[in-house]
Amino acid sequence: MIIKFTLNHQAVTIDTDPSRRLLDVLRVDFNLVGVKEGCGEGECGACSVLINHQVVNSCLVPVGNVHNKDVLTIEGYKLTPKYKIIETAFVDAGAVQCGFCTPGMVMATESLLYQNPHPSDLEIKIALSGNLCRCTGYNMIIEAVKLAVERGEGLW
Amino acid sequence: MADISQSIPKVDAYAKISGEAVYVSDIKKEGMLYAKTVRSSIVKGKITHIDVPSLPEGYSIVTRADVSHMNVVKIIFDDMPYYATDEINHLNEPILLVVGEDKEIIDKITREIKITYQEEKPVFDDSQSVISYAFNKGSIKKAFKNAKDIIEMTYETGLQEQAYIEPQGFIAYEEGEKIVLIGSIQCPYYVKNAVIHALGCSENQVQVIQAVVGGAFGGKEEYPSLIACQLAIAVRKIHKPIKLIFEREEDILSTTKRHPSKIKLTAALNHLNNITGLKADITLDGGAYKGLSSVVLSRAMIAVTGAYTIDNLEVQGKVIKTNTVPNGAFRGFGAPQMFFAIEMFMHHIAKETNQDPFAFRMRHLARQGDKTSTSGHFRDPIILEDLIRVATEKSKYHSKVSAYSNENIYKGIGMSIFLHGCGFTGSGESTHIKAKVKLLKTKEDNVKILVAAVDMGQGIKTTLPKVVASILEIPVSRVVFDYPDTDLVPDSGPTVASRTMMIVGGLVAKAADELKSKWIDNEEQTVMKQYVQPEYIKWDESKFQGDAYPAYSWGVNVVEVAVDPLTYQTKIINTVSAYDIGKAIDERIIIGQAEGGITQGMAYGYLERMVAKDGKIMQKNLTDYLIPTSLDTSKMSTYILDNPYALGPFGAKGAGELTLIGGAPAIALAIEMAINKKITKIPVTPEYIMELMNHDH
Amino acid sequence: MVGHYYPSSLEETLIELKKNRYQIIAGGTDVLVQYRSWSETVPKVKYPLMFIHHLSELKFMTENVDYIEIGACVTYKDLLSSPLIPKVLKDTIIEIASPGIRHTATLGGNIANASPAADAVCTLIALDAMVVIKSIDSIRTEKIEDFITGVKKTSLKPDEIIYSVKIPNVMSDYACFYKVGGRQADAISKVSLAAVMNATDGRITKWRMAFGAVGPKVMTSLSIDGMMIGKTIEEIKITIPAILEQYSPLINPIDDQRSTAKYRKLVAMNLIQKFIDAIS
Repeated sequence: MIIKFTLNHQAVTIDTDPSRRLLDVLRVDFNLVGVKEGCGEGECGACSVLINHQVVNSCLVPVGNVHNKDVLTIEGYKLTPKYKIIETAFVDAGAVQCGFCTPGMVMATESLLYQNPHPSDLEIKIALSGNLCRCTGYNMIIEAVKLAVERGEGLW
Repeated sequence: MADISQSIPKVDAYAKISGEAVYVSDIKKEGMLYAKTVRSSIVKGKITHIDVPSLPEGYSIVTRADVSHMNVVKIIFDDMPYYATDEINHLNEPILLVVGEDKEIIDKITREIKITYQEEKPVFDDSQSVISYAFNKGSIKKAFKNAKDIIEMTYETGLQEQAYIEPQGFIAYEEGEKIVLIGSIQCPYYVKNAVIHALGCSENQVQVIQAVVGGAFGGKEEYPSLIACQLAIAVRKIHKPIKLIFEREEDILSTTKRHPSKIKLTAALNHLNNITGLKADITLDGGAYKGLSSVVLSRAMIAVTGAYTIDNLEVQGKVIKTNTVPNGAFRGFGAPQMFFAIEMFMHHIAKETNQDPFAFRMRHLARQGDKTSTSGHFRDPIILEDLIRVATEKSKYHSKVSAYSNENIYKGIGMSIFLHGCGFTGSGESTHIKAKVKLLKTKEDNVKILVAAVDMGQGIKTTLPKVVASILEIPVSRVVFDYPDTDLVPDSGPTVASRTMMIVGGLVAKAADELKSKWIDNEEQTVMKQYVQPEYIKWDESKFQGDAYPAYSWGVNVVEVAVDPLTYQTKIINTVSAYDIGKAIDERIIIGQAEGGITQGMAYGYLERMVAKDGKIMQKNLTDYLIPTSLDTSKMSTYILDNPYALGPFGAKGAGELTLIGGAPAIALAIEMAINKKITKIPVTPEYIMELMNHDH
Repeated sequence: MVGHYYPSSLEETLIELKKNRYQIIAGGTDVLVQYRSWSETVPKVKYPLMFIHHLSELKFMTENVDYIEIGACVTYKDLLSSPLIPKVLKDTIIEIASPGIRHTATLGGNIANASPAADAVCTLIALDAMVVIKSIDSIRTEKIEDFITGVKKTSLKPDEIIYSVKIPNVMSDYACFYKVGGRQADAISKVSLAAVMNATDGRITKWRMAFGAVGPKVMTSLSIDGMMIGKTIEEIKITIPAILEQYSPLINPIDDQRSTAKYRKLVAMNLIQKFIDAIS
C-alpha cells in the first residue's frame, strides 16, 4: 500500500505492508532509532511518538493508520525550541538515568503540554503513566515536567 | 573548591534525552544477520530428536554441535550450558539459534523446527540441595540454654524480575582473527572471559565493547555471557555480523531473577527481653543452574543480623535446585530477602513480648567496635542514630505510629533500618578481581579514564570524571570516560556489588593523585593502579569468619501507606529516607539512585508478583508483571548524611544496592500496622491482605 | 489470499466485507497485541486487515432526545473531551490503559474485542447501551450484553461492522465505575463494577450493575437488577447481605496470572456494598 504522511515535518511516501508496526517502519525504513522498543505491547511507552500531536505507542499502530497523518519522533522534535526547554529541565531535574525510557517520556511530556500547558501534579502523573521508568521512581521526571512548564511559560 | 557533592549536569544526559545515545538494538552493520533462539518447550527431560527443515541458502542453525571447546557459561560453577545439552532442566532453555538475513524467513524456520522430548518428572520442592554453608558466632548453645523466651518465625519472599526497560541484546562480528561483541552488559570482562572459555581462544581474540545500557539492576551481570557465548560460536561458524535482541517476553521467561527465599529465624531472649542468640535457616531457590547462587547465599547469610548486633549466632543456608529458570544477580544480591526477614522478625519479637518495637530495635543497633555477624568488626563510625532521628522526624514517625494504632483507620507507617556491605564479599576483591585502573593524559592535557566500569544509568560516567577533575583541578569537560572496550581498558572488575565508586573510584582517585604529583604539561602520561586490600581486613572464606566487607553503608526508610478495606489495595502516601553512603559524589545522582532504589524495593514488597507454576513463569510480560507507574509512587524525601570513609574517594562508599534493601520491610511493616495482622511474606498483595484480614474474624 | 484493505468509505468497506473475509482493525491496540510476532516482522494475522480507523463516517458523536450515539471509531481521547459523554463513562475511560492507548483506541474496538475485563463495556452495559451493527444489506441493533457472547466472542458476522454505540439519553442519579487493577494506572482490571441507579421519592426506579473480570464476559443480570426496582433506598441499605446473596451466582471468577477467584469474588461483593453505601 502507498502510505503518505508527514514525518518530522516532511512529507514522505512509502510503499509497504500497512500491517507493519509504525515502530518498525520508523526504526528500519527511516533509521529513527530514538524510538525504542521495550515491550512490544503498549505497556512501557519507550516507543512513544506523536500522531497529530498526541502521544501513541508506535508498537501498537499499524502503519496504515498514519496515512495522511502527522508523525513526530524525538528526531524531529529535538529541533524545536520547546524540546530545548524540556531537555534542559530533564537535565536539571536529574530525570535521566539509563535513558531508555527518556525519549518516550519527552514525547509524552510534549503531548501533555500541547493539550494542557498548565497541568497539575496529578495531570502530569496521569500523562506519564504509560511510560515506564525502572530507574528513577518518577519523582525527578515529574519535577522535570514541572520545571518545563515553568520555564516554557507562553511557549505551549 | 566546590563541595564534590554539588551536582553537575550528567554528561550523557543530552544524548539520552535526544534519542542519540546508541543502544545495542540501534546498531547496524554491513551484511548483518539476525539470530533467533529456539527454546525448550518442556520443563525437564531429554531431547530425543531435533527435526530441522531444509534451510534456504544463507540460513543456518547453530547448536551445541558447533561448540568446539567448552559448552558452559563461565560464572562460578561450570554447570550452565549456553546451548542446551540433551538434558533439559527448565522451560525455555536455549537449544539453538536460527541465523540469517531476513527475519520473516528466520521466524518461519523457527516455527518449522520440531523438537521431540522424553519428559521426566521435574522437581520444585526443596529436596535437591546443591550448595550449603554454615557458620557460628559466640556460643549459641549457652544463649538458648539460658533463654527466658524463645521465638520462632518463618518468612518467605518471591521472585522479582529486574525489568530493565531495554531487553538483553548483543551484536557480534569478526575482525580478522578477533571476535568483537557489543552488548548491553554490566561486566565487559565477565563476557570476555566467558567467550575465551567457550572458544578456547587466546585473550587477544576477543574484544567486548559496552553499548549504552538501558538499565540492568544485576540482570545484565552474568546472564549476557550466555548470549555472548552463543553468538561467538555462531559468528565463528558463519563469519558474518550477527545481532540477537531479546523480545520482552523472551527476556522475562528465560533470564535470571531474584531468588525466592524461605528464612526460618529463632531467637533466644534473656530476662531483659534482649536477643542473646539467633538461629537462622536460609533457603534460596536457585532454579535449574547454580550460576551466582553461592555468592547470593553468602551475602544473605552474612546479613542475618540486619543492622543489629547479636552476640551468638548459628546460621545455615542452602541453595536448592528446582526445574525453573535460573535465578541470579539482582540489586541487593541476597540482602533484600534477609532484611525483609530480620526486620519483620525484630518487630514481631517486640510485639510478641509486649515491648515497644522502636525501643527494642534501638537497643540492638550495631555500634562502632561491635563484632559483625561473622565476628569481624565495625571499624568505622556508625551514624545510624542520626539517620533514624532524621528519618523519624521528617516523617513524623512517632506521632503517626500512635495515630495509626487505632482500629479502622487502615493507615500504617513502617520503618526499616539496614546496612549494605560495600564491594565483593570477603576477600573477593584481592583474590578474584584484582582491579586495575589506568589514567591516560594526552598531549593536549585531556585525561582519559580507562576502566571497565559500566554506566547503566547510575551515573558513573559523570561521577568518575568528577572525581578525577576535582583532584586534578581541571574542568570535567577535559576528562573523558568512554564506554569501556576491553581492547582499551584494563580489567577494573565488574559493575556490581556497590563497588564501582568505592573500589574503582578509589583507585581512580589514587591514580589522579599520582598524576597530579607528576603532571607535565603537553606530555603524554599514564598512571596505573591496582587494588590492594587493606592489611587489617581478614577473611576466612571456608568458615565465614572475619571482615566480610571493607566498609558498610547504612540507611533508614520510613514508608506510610493506606490500605483500602474493600479492595485490599495499598497506596503509598509518603516515603522518607536517610542514608550514610560516606560522601555523595553528586548529590542529585545519589538521590536519583535512592528514589529508584526504594521504588523497586517497595514494589518488591507489595506490588511485583511473579510466580512459577510447575516451572512456568505465569507473569510473562509487562502487562501481567506489574512494576510501578508514575501514579504508583508517592512523594519521596531523601536525606544524605556525610560520614566519610577513609579509603573511599572523597569519603564515598557504596550506594547502588543499599537503597533497594529497606523498601520491602518498611512497606510490609506499614501494611502490618494498617491492617493489624502479622505479615510473613512478600509481596504483600491485595490477595494476601484479604486472606489476612478475613482470617479469624 | 487477498491483501489488506484500506477503504475510502464505509460503503466500500461493507461491500468488500461481503466479498472477502477480513480482520477489522481500528486503532490497533488490541489487534496488534493479539497477532504480535517477532520484532520487525509483520503481525501474523489470521485474515487480511480491513483498516477503518480513518473512516469519518465512524467518527461522529450526536445526541437526540432518546440517545447519545457514538461512532465506532471515536477514540477514548475524543470521548474524554466531548461534552456529550456521560460523566461515568469518562470516569471509566480515564482508568483504561494509558494516554498513548487512549489516544488511538476506539470504543467500537473495545466492544468488538469482547474481553471479560473490558472496562468501558461494563459501564456501557450499566447504561443500557446498544450496539448498532451494519452490513451492506442490513442494519441491526443489539444490547451490548447480548452482542458479546463469550470470551473474545461476539455475534458480529464476517460481513458486519460495528457502526455505533447508542446510549439512552437519560440522567442517572448515581452512576459509578469502580476499577480494581493490579496498580494505579495502566492495568487490566482484576475486577470491576459499573453501577447505575435512579430513584424517585426515595424509591428505586432503575438499577443496573455490570461486573468485569468475574466470568467469561462482562456479567450482568436484568432479572437480579430488577429485584431492586420498587424498593426504597433504606430497604436496600438494610438488606445488603440479601442483595449480595442475590448477585453471588452471577460472580464466577477464575484464578489466573493477575489474581485469584476468591479475591475477585469477595471484592466484587465489596464493590456492591460500596455502591450501596454511596447512594442516599
